Amino acid sequence: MAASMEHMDSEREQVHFPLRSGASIVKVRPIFSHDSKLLFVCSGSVIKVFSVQSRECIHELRGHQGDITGLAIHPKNKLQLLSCSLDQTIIIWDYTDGVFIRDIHQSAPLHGMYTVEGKKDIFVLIQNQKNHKNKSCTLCTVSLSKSSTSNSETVLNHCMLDTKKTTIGPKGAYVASVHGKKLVWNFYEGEYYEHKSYDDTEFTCVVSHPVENCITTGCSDGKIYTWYIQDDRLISKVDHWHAMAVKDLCITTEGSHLLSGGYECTLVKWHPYSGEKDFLPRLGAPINYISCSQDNLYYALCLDDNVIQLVTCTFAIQNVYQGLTRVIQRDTSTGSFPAGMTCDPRSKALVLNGKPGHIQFYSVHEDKQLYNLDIVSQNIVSSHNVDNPLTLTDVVQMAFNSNGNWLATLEYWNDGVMSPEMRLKFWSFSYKEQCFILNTIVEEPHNDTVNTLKFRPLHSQSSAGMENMAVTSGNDGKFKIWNLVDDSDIYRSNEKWACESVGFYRNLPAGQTDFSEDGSLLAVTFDSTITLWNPETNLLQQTLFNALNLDPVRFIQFGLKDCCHYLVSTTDNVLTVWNLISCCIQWSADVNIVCITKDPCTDIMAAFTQSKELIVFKPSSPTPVFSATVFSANSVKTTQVLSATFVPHHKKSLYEKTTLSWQSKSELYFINKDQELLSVALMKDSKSVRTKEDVAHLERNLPQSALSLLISSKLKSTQKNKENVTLQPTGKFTRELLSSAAHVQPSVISLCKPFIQSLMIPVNGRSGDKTDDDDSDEEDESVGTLTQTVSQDSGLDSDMETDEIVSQSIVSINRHSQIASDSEDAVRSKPNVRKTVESKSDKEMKKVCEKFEGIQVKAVKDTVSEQMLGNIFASDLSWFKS
Amino acid sequence: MMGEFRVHHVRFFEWTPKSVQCMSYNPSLKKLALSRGDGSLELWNVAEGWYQEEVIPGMKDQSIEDLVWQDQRLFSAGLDGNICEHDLTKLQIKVSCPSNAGPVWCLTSNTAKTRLAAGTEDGCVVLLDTDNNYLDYITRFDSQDSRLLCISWHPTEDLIVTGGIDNIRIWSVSSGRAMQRLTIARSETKKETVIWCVAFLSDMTIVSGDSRGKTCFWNGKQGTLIKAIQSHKGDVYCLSVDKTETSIVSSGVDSSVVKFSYIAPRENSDWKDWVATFVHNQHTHDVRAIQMIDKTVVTGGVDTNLIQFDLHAPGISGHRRDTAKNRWKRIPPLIQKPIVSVAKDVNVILLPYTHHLDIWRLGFTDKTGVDGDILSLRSNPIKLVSMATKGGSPIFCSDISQDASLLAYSDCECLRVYRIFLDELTSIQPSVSMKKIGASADSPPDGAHCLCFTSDNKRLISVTNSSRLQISSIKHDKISTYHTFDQMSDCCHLLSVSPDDKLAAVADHNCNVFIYHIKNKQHVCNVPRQSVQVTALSFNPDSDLLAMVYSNQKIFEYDVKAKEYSDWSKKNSHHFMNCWLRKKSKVYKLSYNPSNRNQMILNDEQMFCILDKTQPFPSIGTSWTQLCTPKSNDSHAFHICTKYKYLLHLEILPENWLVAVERPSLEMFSSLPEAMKRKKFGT
Repeated sequence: MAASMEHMDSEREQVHFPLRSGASIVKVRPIFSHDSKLLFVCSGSVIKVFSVQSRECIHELRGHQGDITGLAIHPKNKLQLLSCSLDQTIIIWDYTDGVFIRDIHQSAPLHGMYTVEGKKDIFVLIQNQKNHKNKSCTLCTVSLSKSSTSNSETVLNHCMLDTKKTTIGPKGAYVASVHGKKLVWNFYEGEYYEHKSYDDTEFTCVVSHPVENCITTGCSDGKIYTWYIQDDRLISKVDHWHAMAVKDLCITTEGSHLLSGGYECTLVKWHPYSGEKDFLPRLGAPINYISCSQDNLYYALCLDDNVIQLVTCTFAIQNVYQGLTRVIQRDTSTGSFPAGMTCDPRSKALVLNGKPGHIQFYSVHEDKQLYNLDIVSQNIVSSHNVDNPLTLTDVVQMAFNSNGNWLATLEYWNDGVMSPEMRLKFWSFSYKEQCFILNTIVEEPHNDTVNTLKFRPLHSQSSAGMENMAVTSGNDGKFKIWNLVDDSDIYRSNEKWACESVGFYRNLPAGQTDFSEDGSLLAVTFDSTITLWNPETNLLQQTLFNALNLDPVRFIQFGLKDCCHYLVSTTDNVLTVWNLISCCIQWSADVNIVCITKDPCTDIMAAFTQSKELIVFKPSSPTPVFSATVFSANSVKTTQVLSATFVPHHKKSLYEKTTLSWQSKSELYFINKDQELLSVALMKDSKSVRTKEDVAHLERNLPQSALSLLISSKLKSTQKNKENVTLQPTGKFTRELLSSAAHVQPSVISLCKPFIQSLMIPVNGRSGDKTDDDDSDEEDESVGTLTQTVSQDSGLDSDMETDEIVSQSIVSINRHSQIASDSEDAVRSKPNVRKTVESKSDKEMKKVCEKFEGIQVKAVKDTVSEQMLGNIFASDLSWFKS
Repeated sequence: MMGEFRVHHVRFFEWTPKSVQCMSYNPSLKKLALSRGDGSLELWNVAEGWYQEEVIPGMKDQSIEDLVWQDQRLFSAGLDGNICEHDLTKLQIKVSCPSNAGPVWCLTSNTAKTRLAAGTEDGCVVLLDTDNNYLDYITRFDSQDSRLLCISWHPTEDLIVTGGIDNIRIWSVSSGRAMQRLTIARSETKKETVIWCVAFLSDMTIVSGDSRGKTCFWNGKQGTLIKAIQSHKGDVYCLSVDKTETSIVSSGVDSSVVKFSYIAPRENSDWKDWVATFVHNQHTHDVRAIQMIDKTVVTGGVDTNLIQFDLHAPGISGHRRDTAKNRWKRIPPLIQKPIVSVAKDVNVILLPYTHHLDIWRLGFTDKTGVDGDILSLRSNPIKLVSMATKGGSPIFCSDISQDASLLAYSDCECLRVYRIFLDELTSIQPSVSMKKIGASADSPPDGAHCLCFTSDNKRLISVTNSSRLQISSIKHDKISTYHTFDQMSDCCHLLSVSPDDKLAAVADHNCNVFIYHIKNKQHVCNVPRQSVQVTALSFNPDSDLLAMVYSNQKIFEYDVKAKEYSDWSKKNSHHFMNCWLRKKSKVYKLSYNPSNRNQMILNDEQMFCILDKTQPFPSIGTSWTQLCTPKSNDSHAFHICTKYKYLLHLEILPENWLVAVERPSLEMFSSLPEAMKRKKFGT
């Protein structure tokens, strides 16, 4: 392994671990454009320009190398945006076109920026270079004019890094800053005032009034002080509603109202004279930043769980910009994401814990949250004390079955005083309502902590005879197998999950479980022993035991595809691969694995070690495909990886023929203790997944005015008519066909079939026919997977036949591969295979069509089929290239 | 170490404090006059750390709604419809003048201090002339439809502003007609808005507090509202303006004190604005009266306490260390004078109330126990006599003789003496009879402010209401004036007679202490005058030393024979601990331990202290907690017991018995009405 790592050293330099999506959008105060139509939000090193009206992201301004720390509208030009970053630059953007104009370099990382309207000089917080331990900033002025050589002038020393803790007075009359319990107020004429807080509480934030000579500070005990200077005395006014610390304050543009937010998840609007208050409660998470638009119509609230809520001045919610939900308060014992990360096989979305008691579906491709699923259905009671949060019921285990129709979750509550509660829930996906519906609740499935919850994979070929099955294992020494059983009565037809069998072994706590790829074997670990069971009969088939290593097994994973006869198990410091045919150890390595995941599309696995090293390997070989140490793009150190998963690509892969070719089918995402969602990418293609066309497309869809709406509606109607005539899918296929050079095109024989197929209109109609027939859907899915399987199989070894001993379904795969190897040319064989499937599905389709005559055909899956064709084309191309 | 005491813990003295009604501060005298709910008047010396100089008990059915100082003269107005001037020497009403317009709600003075204006129930302003020591009715303004609850005179003297129901009026003094009528909005249509307080600033700004909880600022020239601040949750009862007219404080039913500062929020702009700042919320009940005294604000109300808060705004540069806790102090309503007297020989206690006197026999036990034990009684305390005063006039002072055979009390006019016959005092049902000792026709004793029987029961020493020391003799069941000394002061308030009946010491508010020889009818000498007045004084058992406690907490001992401070005093008078000198409550009783002549016993309402003259003083820097919790290895002169709260009397009896009259705070404040419900966070 060491040798291989050396070998890869040269290439590893190109690899980095970017925050691809799901970056925090609430770390920096968002700002509105001057006309309040746009909202600028920082997401890592990218500025996202959101539309206030439509919620869409119009531009992504890319150019900073480090995290952006401050945003401001150009004080002289309202159509330009300034941003400062840790990469020591200030960039001026033209946000209407999304263009970089120029940058100003500074000598040290910048932590914040303040502007005064009409003044060419801006204020920046520059990090002091001298002491790295105790980070503090200096407030300096920087000239924006082109000619000046950016010589900054110090205004105030010893500012805090936090932009909330410094403020600039109206027209730049003074600078005020809070530092712990001290309030420093600096007028330029050399007057320098310092004041200590009354009750020995720390100041948390400071804002200055836009016109009056007063500043407002928030305190850690929830008090809000307003300070006026009068004849060498500070006159203060106290407002106290918040019970916990005030996190941010905002004074509306003309100074008529004060907005405050804190840990209570409530926005308070203070009317300064009447003493009345308006509240916007139950925001879901502590408020971190409040911004007010120039026309006082909108307030943007940054919530700690990575949500920006846009509310109107009357507290009606206008829009919600939802990032990857951050977990705010959770017991450190279970980690931030107790249920780990999985990928929803249906939507290809990343699924992980979100709000307490919820799981979130996050699309990494579009970088936005799809939805939150409330699992526990309980009110979230916020605690009175930040340091001592209440214990909330949380989702600790979740699993999807292989087609994403079933979701199983396990929720757990244990405050250490009362007896713990746990609930196992099965959710079915309703295509009609496009959401998960609760099917079965099992109270107390185990008497002790549940270690795993897994579904049996439904294999495409043998799915007919296999029932849906799930397994749970617990510290009470039992593993339980749950089956989907019929629960119909005279009123309705229904199915439910019930426990079919219980297994145990030597009274040891049942640890990890995994099903083999074909679902014929179930592996359950009991301490250091791995047991293999037949899930149908619940009979113990085999026990695997490493006499040299008596540590309890931490993870087990069956291999997939051509490694499906391998079982990977890890203990505290050894990774062992078992060959299930010989029931002996294939190879083992001394690594401490903290997290392991497998790619559902290929046979590779990815594992993270204690030393934050990423190892990508195939179970068949001890030589890793890839290995690198995880480092963060910004900070030198990154924290422990908590969970990882592979997410299938949405589009054409970028990783062909590179070091990361193992990511060609799906991409690895992993999350660390800092709740950063990281991925593996090449240095050179740091461009986004989202291309320019997407953005332009979105922009076009924005409602501009009443007139444009009218025009667009007309345009749409004409477009619709055109579509009916020109047949969009065919158009695309032919476009792709004609766009590539003739000499790289595959043989006519292989192109013929998809070309003809693309001309067939019923294909779209059939796949769109998703009323409530699950069978047809499964069929459709299997078409996709099968095509993939076949193209995979082209590289299979012929000695796979031996696998027949192990399992039925592997044999069934091999049967196909035999076909493939028989014909010697995989490409040529593929149409054959597809033909059988197609004909089968066509028949199905006809049946369905007959059945549901008159039901309107919805073109839901248009893109899917289109994509499928694209995939075929791409794979054909790649084959030819290679 | 200091000897063990068996304590008669008297809790049956049902003395209840009364709510504060109004306050008026005299900046030249540095005295605060305040009236309470029972019509009593109190004079507090603010300069000497809130020493209660005088208490003038109120007549029955008397009320004082407003108080006004004019230099040395104090005027009051009440619901009896009279405006009165008080004689602060005799502690009586000097002149009274009817308003001729019904009950008077409010009173104000012009800046020249020559006139008074009163607002009455009938709705008219009554003007009175106070020039040349008179109090004469001048005129009344046009009558209005509803009562006038508050009044303020503009500094230029031509305008008066009054507040009533739903409106504020500005009156011209010269014409007697209303110039402006400012109508106040109502929060509910059917609920009238009451203007409880109003203030007229020299720039014609009118400040008003009303029943909606709003403090309003009006332009008096135009009659327009400048700003209305919802400063309180309940009625705003009172407001006070400081001398510079840049800050105003207000308070009311919700008991929070709010300060308004007049500031310029924008730079380079003439425009100024009032900004409300919350000050404190220390009162438990409605605040009725508020007064700015220099940089502090004093509030009093239904909860009977006075609270002084230091408004001193922190400077911009340089930080102030003291937190909010150090900035306020509570002044409890207890009378800072020994009012209870004990007949030491027979364990009988005299408990004086405003309009009646109770005599109790203390309980008796022969058991002993360890420290802190409650000893079971062999005989319970019994009320022997309850005697109402003649004609409902309030009691100024009272005393009972050592053997409980004589009782004397004085109201504002005359002194009454009774002989008590007690039989079988130790039995379950003692028989009691009383007989009045009549005053001799030719030389009746004057009404007294202080009383003391001599130990032989033959004489009664008193300080008369004209502040002269008077000796009366009781012979053949007649009391007659034996000798009246010349007046040396007009404000004597303390009296002490030596145990051998030879000497008497009198202290006055001008910091003098006079020593008289009773037998020789001579003024012996004066104790060297100090800058602060005496709060308690006592002769030692040998009658040659006079111990005094001053309002700055210092203790001095004066040798009467040598006419100089005693050796102990000379040695120790500069070594008082800082924490002792910073103590807020005043020592109101000082006595010597009859069984140990080297021990002095001092007490105030919070603690009592046994001062051992043989021990050295602790170091100056000793903290209060160190003083209260002595360590066994270093013994010093001060032995402090803070077991009691609201200690009304403490006296050492022979055989190491101690009488402690305590008023439990729960009982004392249980009679208070219900306060406005305040939300308290976290409950």
